[in-house]
Formats: sequence, C-alpha cells, structure tokens
Amino acid sequence: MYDTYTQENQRDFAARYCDTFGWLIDEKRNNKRLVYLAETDGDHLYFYSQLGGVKQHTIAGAGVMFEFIPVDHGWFKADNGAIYLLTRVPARQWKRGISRSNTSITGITGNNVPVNFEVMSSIFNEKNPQTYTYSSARPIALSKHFAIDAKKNVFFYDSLIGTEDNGIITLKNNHVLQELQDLVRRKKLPLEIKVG
Amino acid sequence: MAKPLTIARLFGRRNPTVYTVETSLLGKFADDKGPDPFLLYGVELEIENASSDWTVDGMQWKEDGSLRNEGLEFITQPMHYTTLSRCLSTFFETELDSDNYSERCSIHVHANCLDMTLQQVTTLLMMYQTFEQVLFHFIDNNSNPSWNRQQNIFCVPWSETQLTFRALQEMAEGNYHLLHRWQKYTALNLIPLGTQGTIEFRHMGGTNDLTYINMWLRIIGHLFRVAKSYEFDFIKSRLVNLNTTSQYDAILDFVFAECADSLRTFGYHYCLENGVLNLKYALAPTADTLGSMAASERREAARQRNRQWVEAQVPNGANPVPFGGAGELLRRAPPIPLGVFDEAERIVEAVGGLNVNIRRADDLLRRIDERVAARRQDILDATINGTQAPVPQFNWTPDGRWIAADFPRNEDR
Repeated sequence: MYDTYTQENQRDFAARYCDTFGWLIDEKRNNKRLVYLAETDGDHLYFYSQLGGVKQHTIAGAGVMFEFIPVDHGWFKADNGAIYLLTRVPARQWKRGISRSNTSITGITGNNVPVNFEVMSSIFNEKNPQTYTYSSARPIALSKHFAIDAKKNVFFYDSLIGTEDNGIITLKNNHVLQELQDLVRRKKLPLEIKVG
Repeated sequence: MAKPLTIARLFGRRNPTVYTVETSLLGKFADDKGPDPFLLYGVELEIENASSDWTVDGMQWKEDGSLRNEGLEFITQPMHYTTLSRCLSTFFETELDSDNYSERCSIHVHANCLDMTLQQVTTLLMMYQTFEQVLFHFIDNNSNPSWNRQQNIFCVPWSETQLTFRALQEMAEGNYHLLHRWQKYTALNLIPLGTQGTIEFRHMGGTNDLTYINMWLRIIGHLFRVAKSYEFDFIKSRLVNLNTTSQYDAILDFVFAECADSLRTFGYHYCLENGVLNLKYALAPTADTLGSMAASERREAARQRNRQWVEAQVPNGANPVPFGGAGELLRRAPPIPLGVFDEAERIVEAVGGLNVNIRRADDLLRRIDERVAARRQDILDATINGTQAPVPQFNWTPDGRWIAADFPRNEDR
C-alpha cells in the first residue's frame, strides 16, 4: 500500500504509521529504502532512514511517497551474518506498517528478536539483497523456507527436519525431500540430500 | 452405535434457525442449490455511504466502528445457497458504486460447521491451508488492485503466520483452549467455531459484483462438499503428493469442479506449490521446533546453574547423584532411615514440600525405592560388621512438612 503525508490525512497517517517501518520511494534513484516513521507534529513527518540513521523530515503535502508492505514469512539474512525467521502476527492493532505488534522476528537459536531499526535495517538494505545461496558460513538461509544453524541443524521454517554435514543434508524423513531436491536443483546448490 | 461428535455437540450449540422462503418465490434461483445444498451461509457486507433502508428480507443491519462515511454492515441470516443468492440479488438491486467501497470494507462469509465432525472440519482446514494462496489470488485478481487483501492487517493469510490447521488436530486431542488463542484477524478465522459454530472467511474486499460474490460462495461451498464427502487421510494423501503441473490442475478440478477455471489465475501453480509446502509444515511433528529447542536449552542452562549451586554446597567427597527431583532429595539428605518413605502419601507430601513437580512422583518413587533398597543393604552390612549406620537429620517446615536438614528451600536459592 502506498501513502503520502498530507494536510488532510495527518491524524490518520500518524495513527496508522508512526512507530512503524515502511519504505521511502526514492524516485530519483529509482529505488526504495527502509525508513522508521517516528512522529508527526502537524506540518512535518519525521523519520529515520538508512542514510546514516539521521532524523529526516518531510513536509505535509510534499508528495513524498511511502510504501507499507508487511514482511513475508520466511528466513531472511542480515548483513552481519545472522539469519532471522520473520512472521506476521494477526493481532488486533491499527498500525499498518511493520511494527512490533504485527511482526515477529525469531533468531536461529529460537530467541525473540526485537523489531527495531538496527535489526530491520540489517535485513532490509540495499547492500544486502535477499538472494539465497549456499556457502560454508553458518548459520545460513537456503531459501525462505529452509535454513541451517551453527550446529548444522536444518530447519524448515522453525521445524527441525535434519542435519547437514559437509554438504550432505540428512533428513529425518522424506516429508519435504521433494521440495529440498527442487530447491537444490533450481538454485544449483552444491548439496546432496538423503533421508536418514 | 454412538452418535458422531459434531461441532454442535462439542460446543453445546444448537443448529441456528434457518431463513427460508417459499420455493415459488425463489424463481430462477430455485434450480441452483450450490455445491453443498446443506451448507448454511451467513454473509456480512460492509458498505460505506449506506442506508439502513437498503435492508431486504433475511438481512439485518448494524453500525460498524471500523467503517467511515456512514458505513453500515448488512448481515444475512443463516440460509442455504439458493436463498442467499436470491437475497443478495435483491439487495444489490440498489445501485452501489465505488463511493460505497473503500479498503476498509470487506465481505465476510460465515459457513456453518455445526453439523460437521471435528475430523471433517480438520479436513476442510487442511484443504484451506493448501489452497489459501490460490484463493487469495482469486480474490486479489477480482478486487481493486490497491486493496491488496493479502497485505491487509484484517485478514492475514495463515501462510504468513505460524498458525496452521494443526490447531484443530490438537483440539481433537482435547486442547479446546487453543481456539481462545486463535487470532480473529486471520484470513480464515476459527474463533466463531466455538461461539457460533461457524468459520469465517474474511478474504473478500468490498464489492457489488454479484457474480464474483456468488463465485466466492460456491468456492467455499466446494471446500465443504469435499470435506464432508471424503476421509481426512484420503485428502491428505492427495494433497501431500502433489508435485506436478497436471496434478495441480487435477486437484483444482477435483475440489472446485466448475469453479476451478476461476482459480487458474496467473502463477497458480506456484501458489499451489507453496500451499503444499505450507501443508507439510503444518503436518510436521511439533516436537522439534526452534521454540521448543530454545526452551529445552534454557532448561538445560538452568539445570547447569542449579547443579553448580548444589555442587558448591556439598562437602568434598560427598557422593554426586543426579540433580533434580528425588536425585537432589537423596543427594542432599543423609541416608534415609527405613520407614520414612514407606507410605506413598507421605512421599508425595514430601515431594510437595520440596516444591518438586508432582508429576515426577512416579520417577521419585522409583528412585526412592532404589535408595531404600540400598539403605537396607547398608543397614544389613552395618549389622554384619557390628557398626551403626548414621541417622539422617530432618527439619519441619513452618507449614508442617519435613525436609532434609540441609536441603535448600526456595527462598534460599
């Protein structure tokens, strides 16, 4: 959903989007970047972006466009090497951007991760395209569905399905064998899969 | 033969009063009974700039706080497909246009499950889990593009959350409280199952396109038809083994019959592929998940800390025994005199006094039996050797229980 801050929608905009994350549409650079919409004071909308994390503002009616889309469910890699399982939370709330109340982030060790600027910007930034691949780094996300942790456990979302050792994934059963084989074939991952 | 356990019996609900009209009044609608002639629908139409005068027979209106611009919600009484088609057709004779609909407006369809067994509902939800993205594509392809319903916060797809139809399976095992933890703002809302005996399809945005609404009602009807006609295992085996384009086409035809073509939107193969994966996630064993593993690791860390604490309290040379429950009791206490633990009740009382999970009582009893047997041997040995076994010391707690003298109380930890 696209929205822009105007004189007419000040109250609605503040209620829906303040204290949430969205994307600032940068038409000059033909891209969009993650922003945290902090507050409004009538004429101004204040937000933080990944450009140095400084507080910026736009004036009501300036036509600056924001996009508000929820996260996809799945594994995402951060630029610091961590991987996170993002999930939407269908709880009652008014916030339409990504917020603490409608998004859950879980680390590969099962820990709850706060939905804050540091974490969000480490996941969604231009230098960190969410292209899934395979390497010796651990943890690693193979796709939105599958990930391997530092102990070489293989997860299907948050469900433990097997282990990996030297490029050989041993599944506990053949439940998602087909899907993993498809993933390896499509992405040409140097992985062998067998059922233990 | 026992009556099947229906949702009505499970939740103690009576079948609703069905709105009917005389067959002669049904006119052209009389012949089309829908995919499931017995299925009762209840439809909520959210409309802005609305007037209560628009209400027709079989329908009520109420104000809705989530709407603006004089928005009203028109709610049909429980009725079958034939009657509902007629009712909606009459209602939409009022000319509505884009002013009456915004992204705030939705059409919610309640479908009655009171006459279904828990397993039939589980089958239905398993199919829903698989077809959810296909259904959303159908909805989004026919709605205002800017209203992207999948991204709407009022009808979050199951596939974007960790909610699955497994909740119903767990309910079948007696965990009825799961329904209380369900979230209303999921695309398929299960909360009304416990309150009205219905499930609520919240996918559809506001529209006055009757053909589109009727198609949606028929799609829902087909899910119910199949769920009532086939066994869970049969449907499950068909769904989990889907992996070719031709199978995807075949399953759409099998489940949705004449509506299947409407669901063959661009990319529906991909949606079904994801749907099968989501189904497999729902079917995966729940024991080994990140959450449970993390909890298990937290428990282990706590055990380590406790073990270190206990080790720090024990004099050098004391016999180490496993930490926790009876192990701790035995390790902390001096040898237990025979007769102290000869009554199970007193053991449980002792366990309660030590604030150990009562469910471990069996394990405690086994360990205590072993310890008592060992003690018996000690006394025998002492008798043979002419020595005396040391007598343990016990203290009484303020609430009348006894504990080993050097056993740490909760407040000491």
